Amino acid sequence: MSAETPPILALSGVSKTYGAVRALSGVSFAVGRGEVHAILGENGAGKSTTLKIINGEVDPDQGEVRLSGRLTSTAERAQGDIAMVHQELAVFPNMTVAENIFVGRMPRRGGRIDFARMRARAAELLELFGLQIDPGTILGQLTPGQQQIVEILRAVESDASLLILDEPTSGLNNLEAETLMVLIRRLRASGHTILYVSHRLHEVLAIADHVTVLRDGQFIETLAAAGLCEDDLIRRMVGRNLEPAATTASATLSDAPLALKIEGLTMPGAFTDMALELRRGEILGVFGLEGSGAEDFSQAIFGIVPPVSGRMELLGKPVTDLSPAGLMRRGMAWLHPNRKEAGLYMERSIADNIAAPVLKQLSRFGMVNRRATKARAQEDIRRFAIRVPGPEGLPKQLSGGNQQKVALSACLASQPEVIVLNEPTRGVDVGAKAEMHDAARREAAAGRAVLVFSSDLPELLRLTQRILVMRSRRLAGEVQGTAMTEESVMALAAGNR
Amino acid sequence: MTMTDTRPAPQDSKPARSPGFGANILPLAVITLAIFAFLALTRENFATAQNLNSILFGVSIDFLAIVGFTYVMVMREIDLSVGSVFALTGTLTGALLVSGWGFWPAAGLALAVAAFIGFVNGFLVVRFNINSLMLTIGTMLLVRGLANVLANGLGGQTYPREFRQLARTNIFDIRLTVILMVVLVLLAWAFQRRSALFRRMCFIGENVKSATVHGIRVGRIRILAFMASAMTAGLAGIFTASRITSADVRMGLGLEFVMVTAAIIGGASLYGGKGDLRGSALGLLLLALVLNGMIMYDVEPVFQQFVIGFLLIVTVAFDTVMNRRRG
Repeated sequence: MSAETPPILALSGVSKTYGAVRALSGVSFAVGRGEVHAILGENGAGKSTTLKIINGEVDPDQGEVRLSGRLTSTAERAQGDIAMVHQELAVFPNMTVAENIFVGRMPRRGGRIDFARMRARAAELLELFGLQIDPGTILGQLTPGQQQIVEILRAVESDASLLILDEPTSGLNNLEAETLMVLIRRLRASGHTILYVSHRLHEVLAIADHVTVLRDGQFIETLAAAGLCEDDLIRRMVGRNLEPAATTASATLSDAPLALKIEGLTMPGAFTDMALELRRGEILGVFGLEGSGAEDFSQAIFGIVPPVSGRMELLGKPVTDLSPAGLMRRGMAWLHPNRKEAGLYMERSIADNIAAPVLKQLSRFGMVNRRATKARAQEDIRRFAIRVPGPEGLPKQLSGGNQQKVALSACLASQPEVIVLNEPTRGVDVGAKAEMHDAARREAAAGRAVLVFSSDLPELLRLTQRILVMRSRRLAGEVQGTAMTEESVMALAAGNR
Repeated sequence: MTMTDTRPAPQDSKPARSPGFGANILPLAVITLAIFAFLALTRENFATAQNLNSILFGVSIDFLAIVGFTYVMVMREIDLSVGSVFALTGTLTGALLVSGWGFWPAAGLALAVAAFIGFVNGFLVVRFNINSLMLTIGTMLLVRGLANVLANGLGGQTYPREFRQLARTNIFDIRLTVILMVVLVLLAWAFQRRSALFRRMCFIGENVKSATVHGIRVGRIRILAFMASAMTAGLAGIFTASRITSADVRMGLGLEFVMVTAAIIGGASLYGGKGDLRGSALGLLLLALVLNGMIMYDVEPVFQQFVIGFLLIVTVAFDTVMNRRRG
């Protein structure tokens, strides 16, 4: 409340209720001009609602929002000086990069679009942020990460004084995330104020000046980021300590029987000569930056896009029917990397979702036993602590973390012996993340084999005993035990040799 | 609050059934009854035994064709070739009979041809991922061409007497097709409520990627559904050919649009994941009542097409709005 420069953004006593759910109650905090301010909280803590209120998309029930000291209405904020980049991509894949940056604001000259100037300005922006992309490129040809950066540039170009980034790195690989960090620092240097939401705590600590923590719709604290560590943040977000980082001992694993053996797996253009050995009781990680072929490799071993050549042995027997249905019958299961795309049926009950992969076991003479279906769902809701009113609830009503737990329940419903988890904790909060990791460890401890594909390197380091690293669509190497560090994995993945 | 106790909590009072169907049967039945009551009260020719029998008979034959069609829609596909397959199968059966074949071999061969067309539809959709809307418009034209060649070859010749009798077969004074319809509705009810297959179809319709990841054999089920669609259309075509007694190039023209409208009225969606054969039957009945009512009110028959088009647009728009709301 200093008289000279009021904060660029100040919330006081902001509350919002959706039906019976209290999304926010009395949230107050301020963001200073020219800083990077992070908002942290578990899924459901009220981050999204807060951002939407600030951006003028949602009308608060109570409280006020001031911009540079001036009281503003929701409609004013929707029109005004704020640019927000949403978590989901909102781009035009068939238009050029330049057109995407200047959507709705294309420079004109005598009633026509001045393409030359648009391209020049786009090139300038791209250059400014060290991106080597031709502004005339069709956006759809870029990686999702690059597309996200283009979308951020669009917000930058709008010249808003307050920029809101909601989970901007959730779709980015580590290199792209690094680029984004550089971009954000430059924006700050040029006087922009940035409100930043991310689940990646190390990023927040690296970039933010202040951190505001929300929990269960309430403001907990705003603190200076300098000198904090991840555990400080986690404690405030969840109100407790989480996950002993210690990895299970891996000494005896080499005697365990092989669960999955892959040799010479090749799919031209996607990956070449991939091999791996996965033992029972083991959690093996696969890491690769975008374009490394790791994603294709994962799809291939589940037969979603079958490989062209190579050998696969599942539980000691060669795989003959390389299709998801065939592999599932043989004891494999696969969690899709993006729960919004696959792994759930948003319009169908939790019970149906969990039953989907095991309809056969739940049926007799082709008729589903509905009592058993429901009982199984109730058991899983307990086992995975899914926060849901009952087995009749719909996934679309759940938070991201709870949706992911439903997807995992469905994945594990067939009691698979070989479990492939893709991005198991993408976009979920720290609490749900820990529970997902616990579930993976439980499966391994019960003698199952777990293969984890993740772009979240700290997650792999914490969860697995061994990491295969892919680069340039090949196996670049393997790290394990004490040699397993962020540096050693990145050295292999990024090819600093 | 557990489900095992005898009086479940109110929010859990629904059984663990699939929400893929059953949502709008009651309101639909009420609307159909209302139209029925309106016509019965205002037009004295409407509620005669003869008129009602003829409506029911017509609906019962069309119903056979909508069986497979509805389940194709559940899987978020569509089969617009039903009207043509309907015509080809009926005309082919008649043509074979005219040339001296026995009824069973003739009907069997014609149904096998229908099954083959359905297989080709399904195979092309599965193998090359072709949009089924466009693909089956192609099949529709192609098969219609074949049916017309056959019909022209017959040149209005009347089918043999035994074949003409088929559609008029009565069991206990009730048309065979009406009995078939009742039996199929009961079977569909059980199928939709209990079967694993129907759930798989709903899963595929709602999210085909999820279904694939969950080990559901999507391709196989899709091909089967297209085959079922063509075969049930063919069966209806055989009964229709028998009913109209001679080859006619107009047979089954526009049937596919009546089917889409009826199926969506009955709870299916262009966006997949749901559908209810009971609702489809009610949808057909409702459309038949509307068309019959127009005749009762001396509306020009050419106006019928206008009304079908209008209802098609209204239902599709409604379906789209509802889908957006749930998304």
